[in-house]
Amino acid sequence: MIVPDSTKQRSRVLIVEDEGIVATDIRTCLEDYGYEVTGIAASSDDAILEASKTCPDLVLMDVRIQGDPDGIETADILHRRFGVPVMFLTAHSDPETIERAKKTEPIAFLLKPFKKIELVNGIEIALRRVHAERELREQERWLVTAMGSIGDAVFSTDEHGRVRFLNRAAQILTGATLEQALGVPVTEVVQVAPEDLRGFRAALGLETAENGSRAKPEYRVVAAAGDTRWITARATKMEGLEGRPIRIAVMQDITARKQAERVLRRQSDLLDQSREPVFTWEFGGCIDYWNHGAERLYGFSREEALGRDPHELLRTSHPMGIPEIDGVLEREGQWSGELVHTTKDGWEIIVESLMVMVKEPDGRKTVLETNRDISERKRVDREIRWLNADLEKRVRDRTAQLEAANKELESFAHSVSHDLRAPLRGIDGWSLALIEDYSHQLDQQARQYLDRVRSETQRMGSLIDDLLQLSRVTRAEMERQAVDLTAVARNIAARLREAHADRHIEFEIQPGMMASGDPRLLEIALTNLFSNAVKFTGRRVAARIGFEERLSEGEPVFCVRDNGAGFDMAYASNLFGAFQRLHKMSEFPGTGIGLATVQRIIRRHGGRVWAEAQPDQGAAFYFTIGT
Amino acid sequence: MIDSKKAILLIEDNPSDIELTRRALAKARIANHLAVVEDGQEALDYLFATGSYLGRDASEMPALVLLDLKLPRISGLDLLQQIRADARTRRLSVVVLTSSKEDLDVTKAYDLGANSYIVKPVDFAQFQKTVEQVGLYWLLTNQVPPNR
Repeated sequence: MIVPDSTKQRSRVLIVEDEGIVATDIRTCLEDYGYEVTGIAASSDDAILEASKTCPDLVLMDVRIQGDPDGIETADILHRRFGVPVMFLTAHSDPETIERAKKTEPIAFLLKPFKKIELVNGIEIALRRVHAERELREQERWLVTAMGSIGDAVFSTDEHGRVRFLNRAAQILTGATLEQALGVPVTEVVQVAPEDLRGFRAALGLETAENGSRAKPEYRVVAAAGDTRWITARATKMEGLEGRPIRIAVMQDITARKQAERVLRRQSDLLDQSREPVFTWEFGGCIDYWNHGAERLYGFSREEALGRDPHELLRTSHPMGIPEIDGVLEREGQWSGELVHTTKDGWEIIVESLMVMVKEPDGRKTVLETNRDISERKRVDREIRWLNADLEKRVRDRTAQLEAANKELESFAHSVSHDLRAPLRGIDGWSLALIEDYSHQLDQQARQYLDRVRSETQRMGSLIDDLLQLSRVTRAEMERQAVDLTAVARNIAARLREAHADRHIEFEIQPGMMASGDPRLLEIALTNLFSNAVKFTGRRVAARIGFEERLSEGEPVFCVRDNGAGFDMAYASNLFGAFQRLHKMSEFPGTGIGLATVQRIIRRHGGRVWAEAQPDQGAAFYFTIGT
Repeated sequence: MIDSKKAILLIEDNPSDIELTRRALAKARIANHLAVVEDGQEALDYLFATGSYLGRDASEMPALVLLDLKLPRISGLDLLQQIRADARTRRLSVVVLTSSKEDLDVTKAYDLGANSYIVKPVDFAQFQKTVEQVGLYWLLTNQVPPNR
């Protein structure tokens, strides 16, 4: 039993005694033994007043004190209101009084008359009891507070596992109050999942652990709210008061930790799923995470990579140098760029790297490095550049070839126009000379033959001219500009009228027709179309040739129509081919190159040309010019 | 009046064309002497009285030069360039007579200072008409620069 030091100091006592002499005696006696007497009260009222003022450690009270309330009632008030223990002094020991006095929980009875030593011993014992009780209460309060404030669930049980106490956390976990849980087996209060029950009982020492039981003492329980939570459990056995063992079981709710672990594991799994290599290393230190992507790319297994310096392992190479990269990481928290790494097999690869510095709560710096293999892309880039260069070279070569071919064609055309026409002119010229100078020696037939020679010669000349024009149309540079088609058509019409002054030809040309194209080429095309129209209306007394524009589906369509011989549409597919003719030479002479020239010009403009006709019903040639 | 004392210089290597030109000029009653040279070098010799024409009076310049473009040795265009480059021949009336309708030739000929560019038609009757017109125009109508 603890004896507080304060008892050695002066304990303070209030005397409640209405007999003055007795009170004084007691006072003297107490003071002789070193107590301090805070006062002497002669009545109940005095006693309550004194006690409230001085707060004594103990009240010595005569049971039969004067006044109302009486001594026993007063003691009750003092004990309950002020917490002051009361020791009764009485000469009466009638059972009724004693029974009443007991209910006030007095600390002791002392019967008068008493010896001094009896009084002092009684007071000493009473005071020690008071101190001990106070101490105990305080410890109890401390224990309850401590138990209530810790997060772990704490149970104490008897040797059979029946609950004697459970703290607040345990009540929250199980949903049971102390009253409900008292005496109930802990394995019923805590509702452990059936498959975990054996392990749980073993952890509490209620059962011997089975061999090969789980390494982790973690158990699922159904919590108060009905959800399943994970706990750990451990128990300590200790000796109880009556020599019976009691157990203290401590259980910790680790659900949150388990969840966090699961999240972490899941994230780690997800990182593993990534095809991209991801790994982490302590800044300036070693690799501490290495995913499947990294294993795949670099060929180093997790075991081979963990604990290695990343730059050493991968032989990192960068023009900046690793210390500079580290510097950027430290200053800016991240670095990105292209690195050269070497795989386990010794291949050099180029990766696009992103390093992010993560500062852990404990101050450590971890670098998360995510790399993407761009070797293939780099290779393809190089290849494309090479291909492009090659393509350019080929285009240049091809262009040169084309230019050469064009030159050749030009010089061919040049030769054709010179060299083929000169002999023709000679044939024609000397035939004419024969006719002019020797007509008297020639009969009619001979002169006709010579005429035939001349007309064939001239036809050959036209053929050469038309062919040259066709080739010119193909080769000529095209220059688009606004062309007044009406004006061009009127000029052509005027020329044709003049050339065929003997004929009656009526031209109907729609005013205001404009087009975007090459003026020279369009004039050639229109000239061909108009000349055709003039030619094929040769047998009409009144030839009518129209040129008009109309819109078809928003696109301008031009049309040259005539009231001439027309043609059978069955042969229309041959119409635009070179040397294709639909009429007999004797009916309508021609080279068959005119429409081929028209088509070539229209096509060069991105337009279309087509015709509609019926034999003897005239023809219409439509064309668009594109944009 | 046609100054018929002055010559017409025909630079042409095709004998048929030479004769036909001669015939066309005769038919057009252009009586000027027709001097014929068959290539560019010979033409230069004639104009500057050198080579086989050494001794010709170099001050006597032809009234008209009819120049075919397609010539051996020195081409018609080169010849034209040299005629225009020399002070003595710079102002000669040069009519290009050619079978070529090629754009390049026409443009080049005018750029080099041809006075006219005439495509010889295959039809001789037309050719004759053309020669007649050219002769009349350049010998009669055209006002020539003084001191020629």
